[in-house]
Amino acid sequence: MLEVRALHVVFESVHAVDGVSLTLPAGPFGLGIVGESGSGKTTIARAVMRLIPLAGGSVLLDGHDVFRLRGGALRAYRRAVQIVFQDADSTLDPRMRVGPAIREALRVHRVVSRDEFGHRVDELLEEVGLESATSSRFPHELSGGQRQRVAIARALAVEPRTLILDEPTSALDVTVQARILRLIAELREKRQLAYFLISHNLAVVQQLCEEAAVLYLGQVIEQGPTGQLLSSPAHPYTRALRSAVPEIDIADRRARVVVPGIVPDPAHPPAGCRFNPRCPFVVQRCREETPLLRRLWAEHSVACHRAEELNPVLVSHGGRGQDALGQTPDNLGSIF
Amino acid sequence: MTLEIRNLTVSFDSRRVVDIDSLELGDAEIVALAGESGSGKSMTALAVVGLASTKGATVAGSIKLDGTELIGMPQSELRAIRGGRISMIFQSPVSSFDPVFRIGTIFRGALQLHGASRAEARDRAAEAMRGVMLAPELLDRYPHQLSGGQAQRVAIALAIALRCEVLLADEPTSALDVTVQGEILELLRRLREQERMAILFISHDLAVVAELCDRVAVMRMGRIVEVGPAAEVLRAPSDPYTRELIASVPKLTSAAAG
Repeated sequence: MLEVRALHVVFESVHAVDGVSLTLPAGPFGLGIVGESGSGKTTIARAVMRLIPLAGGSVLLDGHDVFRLRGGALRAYRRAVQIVFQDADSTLDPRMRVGPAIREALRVHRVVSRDEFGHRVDELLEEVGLESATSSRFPHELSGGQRQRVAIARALAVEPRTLILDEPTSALDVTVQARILRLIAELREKRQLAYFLISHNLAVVQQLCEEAAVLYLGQVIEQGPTGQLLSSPAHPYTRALRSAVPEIDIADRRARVVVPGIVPDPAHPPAGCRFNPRCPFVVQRCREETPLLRRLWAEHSVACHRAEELNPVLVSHGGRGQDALGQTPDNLGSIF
Repeated sequence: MTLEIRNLTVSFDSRRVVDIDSLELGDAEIVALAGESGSGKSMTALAVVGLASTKGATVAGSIKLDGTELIGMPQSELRAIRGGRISMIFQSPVSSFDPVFRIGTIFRGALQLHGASRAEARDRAAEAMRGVMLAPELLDRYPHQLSGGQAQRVAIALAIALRCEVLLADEPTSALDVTVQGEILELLRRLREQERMAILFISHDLAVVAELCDRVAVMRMGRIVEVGPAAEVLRAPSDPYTRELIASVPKLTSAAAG
């Protein structure tokens, strides 16, 4: 189990991540981290990978504080938790052929004995849908999708239990994206993987994650089972985000909830609720008091002072029943 | 205004990257060129503004704006059309502005180049900024002082100020956050209604195409594989590639994740 507890990350004086707590259970399990630019989602990934110092809080793997690990214990952590970035180019050494790049991971972490390297590289390539001939190629000889498969194969080489997937398909063409998403879904079952999936794309998160957390200016403002969160978003920002997603099918389109203004400068976040200057439901309390993330019903949490009042159907039905859920956004839509 | 493309080919040496039999764009119409990377959609737009040849491509065929042939037109005449009657906006608006000039200076330069006086230029710039719902004060800023969404609005405002008739929009929302994307799409719709601007909307995102465009031409390997009313093509695609493209788009449904 990987836990992020009350995480604070400060760059200069900007609180990029401000008190975020997330729990990733054992796999197969996906937790989606959703947010727009500047929300802090990639900073969380880098903190979990121990690539940046924390200003507060902790990252725990099976109860052990990751930032206190040294030597062998740290190496074990690096094996247990691997990251896949949006841009495979930045993770693959352009001068290194695919085979040696994967072999290096096997060697550093002593995954198998040296005479098994060649065989294991072939197995890993096959697992991600690449031919064994790929191992003699340089990254630039591969397509974007193939490069991302290589990045996944190299992450899997050390047999991690947990992956951090940071926008893994955002730079890919849509047909390629669909194949990579299928690959991740397959691997997750086969290898019992748990992952944080960082994405700006709600549909991608829905496909691959049981649970999702929505970030706004470094804080989690809503969290819950993905289906529930997307069909009945309770926070005004999540509702706006959800309604902004373009749909191919006209029948799926929702009344657009437009949020005025732009995301404030994270160096000077507004007092009280950070969304208050853009929120159509703002009342005096929102400008004075920061809403805490609290349970709305069952596993669905929201950081909004007016959550119960704004989501009466959701609360009274305990979040169950498609009809009740289906009504909620429309009822609220008339308030906007 | 009518833009007519006939038998357009764009080639690099012997490699043909665009091969379009026929495509039209009418008054106040929004037509999508949809496809994946390398499909030739951006190169088609560059050919329309006469910039494909500056990238070393050979352009042949016919592109007519209200009956006037653009292919083979001298660059001096093309310059008057480009930025005048036809404008182009890009995925990354900040980088399409010269970083050393204030936004107002960029507007003035472009408007004066197309015959406006200094005072006229100032008034038209301010009016265009209000038209995209930006404070005219932003004209005093430098490009890097704008957010991505603001910069894209400014690029659109410039097209409005130039009274352009055809806007070529190359992935104008792909680099923007989804809520900002929604605002820009809304703005493009208004542009068509109020300014009667015709828009050639280049995108890899079929969901955005579905929300914005009247017609869609799906491109693959330089060719248009399917063209028709956007709602029809996306509901009942006849080409197998279009079908695959549509099936690949991750869809939000009310059903919970597995």
